[in-house]
Amino acid sequence: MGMLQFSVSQDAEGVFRFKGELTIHGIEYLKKFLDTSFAHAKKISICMAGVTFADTASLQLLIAFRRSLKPETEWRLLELSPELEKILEISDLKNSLIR
Amino acid sequence: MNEREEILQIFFAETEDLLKKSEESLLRLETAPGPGSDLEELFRAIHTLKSGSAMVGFNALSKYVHLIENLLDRIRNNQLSVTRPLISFLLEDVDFIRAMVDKCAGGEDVDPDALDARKARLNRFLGIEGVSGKEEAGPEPVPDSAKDEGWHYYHIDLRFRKDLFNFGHDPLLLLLNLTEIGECVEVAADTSELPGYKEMDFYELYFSWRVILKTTASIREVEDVFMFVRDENKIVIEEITDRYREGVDLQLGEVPLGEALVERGGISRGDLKSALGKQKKLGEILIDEGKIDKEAIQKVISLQQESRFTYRKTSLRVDVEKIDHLVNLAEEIGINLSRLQSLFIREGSLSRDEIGQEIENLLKVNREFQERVAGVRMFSLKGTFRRFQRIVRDAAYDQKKQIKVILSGVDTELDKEVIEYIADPLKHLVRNCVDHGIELPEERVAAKKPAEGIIEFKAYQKGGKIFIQISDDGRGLDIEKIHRRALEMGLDKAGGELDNDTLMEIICHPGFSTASGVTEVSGRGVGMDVVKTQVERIGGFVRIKTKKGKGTVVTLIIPLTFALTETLHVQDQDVSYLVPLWGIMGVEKFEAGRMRTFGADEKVYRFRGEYLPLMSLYRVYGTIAPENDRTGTTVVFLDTGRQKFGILIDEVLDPYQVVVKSIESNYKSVIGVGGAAIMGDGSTAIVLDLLGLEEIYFKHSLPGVKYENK
Repeated sequence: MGMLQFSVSQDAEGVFRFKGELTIHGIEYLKKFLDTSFAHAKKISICMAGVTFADTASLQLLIAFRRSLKPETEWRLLELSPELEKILEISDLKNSLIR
Repeated sequence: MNEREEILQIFFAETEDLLKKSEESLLRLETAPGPGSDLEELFRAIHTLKSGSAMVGFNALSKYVHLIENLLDRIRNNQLSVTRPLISFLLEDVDFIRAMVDKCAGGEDVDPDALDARKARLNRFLGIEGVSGKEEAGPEPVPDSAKDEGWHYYHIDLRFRKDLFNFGHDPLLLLLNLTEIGECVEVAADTSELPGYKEMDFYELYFSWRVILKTTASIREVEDVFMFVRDENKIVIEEITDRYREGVDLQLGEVPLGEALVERGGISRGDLKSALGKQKKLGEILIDEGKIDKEAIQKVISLQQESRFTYRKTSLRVDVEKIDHLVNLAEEIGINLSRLQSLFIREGSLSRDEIGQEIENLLKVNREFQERVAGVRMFSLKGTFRRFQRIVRDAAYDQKKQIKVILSGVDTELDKEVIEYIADPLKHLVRNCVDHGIELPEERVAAKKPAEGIIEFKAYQKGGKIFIQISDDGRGLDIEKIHRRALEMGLDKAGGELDNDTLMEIICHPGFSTASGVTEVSGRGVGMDVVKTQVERIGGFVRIKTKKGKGTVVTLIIPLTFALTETLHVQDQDVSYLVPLWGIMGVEKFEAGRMRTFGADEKVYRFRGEYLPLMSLYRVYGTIAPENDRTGTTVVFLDTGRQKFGILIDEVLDPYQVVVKSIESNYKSVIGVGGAAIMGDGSTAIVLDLLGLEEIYFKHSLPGVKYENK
């Protein structure tokens, strides 16, 4: 995936940091990441400060993933970038993704 | 029947007429939109319906119809244009009102939620003037502050195809583009179609949106944002400036909560439907409370249904013209009887010829009287055909097909009962034409046909039969596949080339029509057995012609009426028979030299240059023993439309117009016998069922086929 404009890292507190653009081109990578990293997680925290764009396909995948979690699993998306804020607002998907 | 019931019955009959008229006007209005005679006719019908329902005290109905009247008034004043969605909505309204009237007829109250939901949709077309509570105020000038400031509000509905991503489009970018020409004051995403994480295909789109855009841009500029996706997706843009004030949609307060939740994207229409389905009906509540059991409720419901059905069936609306004719004829009979009476009083001075002449006159008038009375039951096919026009329109719209309907011979008249019998088979054939006959526009263009398909309804009278034809210029039946399947199923043992009659027999075979594999390839056949049976029950038959890629023509050939039949009175071996005139080609004296005998005892007789099979009635009906057989003296030549043949009889008497009495209702169905009639001298005669006769004789003639009398 040489064209991938998206990367993930993890900090000392266990928070994952997404960086770059979440698009349909990297969707398989994103799915693989979600499947492997959070399969049995009790708490999921992702920092979105570095995400400059997310397309509909990626948002759909994140929302479907979130809906698949058990009620006891904690899901937190932290520090939305201004770009992502605007996208979620204009698409009315903020509630589905965050709350 | 008390006075109230009488008034109600008149109201119900009139309403049905008005609704039919409205439906017809709407369909015409769709092809020629705008003010004109169709709109005026529709307006008058709705107006009459409004006053009528108020008069009988159906106030909810009257108020609702008043809203429709307002809406029509706006079209008349060019404040609202006739669009396809508007026509669809008004056609649905006709159904809705019909259902409301049905409820009123059954003494039930109109469901307030359903009425509210309907009103809300109507208000959408009406704008602020129609908001309930202001109905009586009439159209008042709307303060147009929004327009003064140059702002427009648009309601934008975005439903995309699932594979949108494959074309490089993303709805998000379109939404972002919208923000460049205005402000999205409301955005509601519908995420209800998103499947589970494991099931979803992440290359497909599952979301849709509803947006309210505030902008100074024109509708054209807004449309331009969706320029590249508009054709392939469901993008609906509607200007709602009139109903939007200070950032508030005035309509929302009028909508029931469920509708509002759907509108605002909180739930899908499916969610609403399922939740509403969980609401309990009155009967269920009573059962739960142990007040009544299920059977008792069911019994009352069936009684109600029966009562409503009978209520409608028993009344017959007849043209004044027809009644006038009857009154005139009754007067004429009266005058002739008085003349006859005075002739007898002047006894001695009258000749036999004079009496004969008077009686002849009386009989002539009486004959016409009988015909006219029978005519009272006759109705044109207009209503039935128009209904099919509606079915085609709605189905084509749903299936994204383009279909033009051509009607001809709509004034052809048929007995009311016959019309009721054939309505369902015809509806079935119409559905087949739309669902399976006519192809999608792109398929048609690929097959070098015009994108718009044609379905034609045609009716005409020939002889004593009515021919009703439904044809389409669609893909036709796949004869080869039908043939293959028929051989597999053992329906066609011969394996030769399929003629139209055999084809008809195969696709009408009950087992055949339900075999899904065949239905798919043939594209027709579902329920054709039902069509055939129903038409045959009234003494008719069905024919089919089809050509692959060119289309299919189905013809129903049915008797004109149940009431009166023109016949020829004949006698054979001392038994009286009445031969329906429609089937008679000619009558000639029997000449032995024109007959040929072959095989065991098969006879043919030369008539107008061709040899026709000749049968003896006594043999077919088994009325006398062969040893007492006398050779007939006269041949009556018949043509049933499927087969020509002659019958050998002793004597031809007079033409006779008879009321055919059913044998089936008193005895049992006898094939080859259409019924019986009481003759002038009180004796009875058998009315021949020519199609049945043909069936008996020719199936007998086929080697190895044993005929069973049903």
